[in-house]
Amino acid sequence: MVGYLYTSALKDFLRPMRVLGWLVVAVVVGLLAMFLSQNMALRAPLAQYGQISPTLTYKVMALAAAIFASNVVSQEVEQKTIVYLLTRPIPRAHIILARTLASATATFLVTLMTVFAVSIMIRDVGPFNAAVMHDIKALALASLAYTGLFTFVTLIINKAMIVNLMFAFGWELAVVNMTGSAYYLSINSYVLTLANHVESPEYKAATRFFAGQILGPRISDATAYVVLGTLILALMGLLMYWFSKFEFVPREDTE
Amino acid sequence: MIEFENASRWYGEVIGLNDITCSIPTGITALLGQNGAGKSTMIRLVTGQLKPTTGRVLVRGEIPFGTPDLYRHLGYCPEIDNFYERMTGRQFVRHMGRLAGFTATETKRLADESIEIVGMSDRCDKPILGYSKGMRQRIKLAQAMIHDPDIILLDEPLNGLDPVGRREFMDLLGKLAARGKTIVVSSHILFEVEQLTRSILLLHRGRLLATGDLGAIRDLIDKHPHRITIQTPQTREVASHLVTLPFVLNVSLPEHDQTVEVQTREPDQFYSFLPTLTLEHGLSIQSFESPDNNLESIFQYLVEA
Repeated sequence: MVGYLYTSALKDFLRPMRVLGWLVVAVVVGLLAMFLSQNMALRAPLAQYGQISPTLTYKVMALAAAIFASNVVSQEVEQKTIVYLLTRPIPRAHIILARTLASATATFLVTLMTVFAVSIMIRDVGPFNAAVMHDIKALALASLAYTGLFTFVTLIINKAMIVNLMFAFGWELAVVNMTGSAYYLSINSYVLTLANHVESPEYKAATRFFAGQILGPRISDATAYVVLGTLILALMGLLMYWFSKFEFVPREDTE
Repeated sequence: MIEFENASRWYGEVIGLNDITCSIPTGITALLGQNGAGKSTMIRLVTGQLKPTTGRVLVRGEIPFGTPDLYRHLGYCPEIDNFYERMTGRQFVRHMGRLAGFTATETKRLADESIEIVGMSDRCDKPILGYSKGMRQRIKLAQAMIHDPDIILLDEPLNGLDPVGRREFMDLLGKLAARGKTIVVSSHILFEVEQLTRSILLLHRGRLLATGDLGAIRDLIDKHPHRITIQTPQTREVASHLVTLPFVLNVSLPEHDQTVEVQTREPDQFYSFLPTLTLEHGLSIQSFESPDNNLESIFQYLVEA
């Protein structure tokens, strides 16, 4: 049943028109990457990729995660179709797990288009470069972590999309560049550790800020894997508990 | 089959259902009440979408919230008119079948049968987006029946159906009830319910006002003065005849209006007498109606009682 829920949700999340929209985003981001690479001080392709990928691709991933996370439950509640899911003989925990995994998969797949677009547009990098493979691995885990977190936010508050976007583009961007222990409170810190981008201190501070590279990585790969893995499992568990425990009925339908 | 034991449900500071104790047996039972009476809340408690704030709701002896296995026995046709609009009716019903745990092959057969029963076979391969209200109601019923549940809960199912559709729908519910199903139908329209079943639960502002046979409730209502308005150009002549009748309590003639207003405790006798005015006394009666035959009046009577 989880399998059917997963595939049907994934088909819904990746409807052709939606994929087309994300393809356009990938092309635009790829063109932007090309423009930036042609105007960067350092000409080394991997140095350029190491700056451009976290600046652009990771932001697309966060945006996709926020959007797809809202499809998991809150959109079903808004459209009132949630009643069809909740009155079928399926444990609620399975519903949320399958749909969150589908949402993470959709996030990863649309981000992958951007990864490839960026890698193709930067001279001498290409989609099969080891740096790109590192990115793909990091983005797969990031998709799970972000969609898990964002979906949980949609379960507990209204207007979750705004909160999620503020978190992704505010907190995550700022904290990863902070000194002190706040750095460890950002998912981005662990993801960027695993991405292992080539960092170039020669770039201006503003450029490095958007890439989350002001201070450079301070976490080992092993720690990043453990923390992200634990976070993903904890979030999935929390989602399953919360969705099973509480009611999810369209608000205006409550008499 | 379905038990409410002192069940109440609050929405913040608003009470949706107030201390309901009742039992719903097999056959058709109607939940009758105006908008906001608590009908949908009651159905949502039975389908496990909501939990009672206090008290208990049991379906086949189990608490429905968080008991997915129980949902194999429940078919739910919600009041909402929302679907996955891009799907065709057939795809939607099949999707619901898959979610009920059937294989793709089983679902295909069951969906086709279910769609056939609701009379949508020739129209269900277009996107739901373009469906009329009646078609949507039929598809909702088809998805509720695909897994052949023992208990079918229908929230305002007759909304939007044309007269023929209503008749077919009622006949279908009758057949399902004859097969031993428990069918709960909510409605705010009295005459609809009267054609469907005699067994009702009358809800008003979250309270269960009356239960049992609709006839008994009507008898209770008939103990109160019943108002009847007669349209006639001969108001004085009609009034002079009516005032002599022993079962008429009061006759009044509103000013500048060709109507006679009558109050009676025996509406059946009154209606039997009414043709006499025309046939024996040659008086012209253009129309008559009773404002007390609507649901609101019934509630008013019962609340006062």
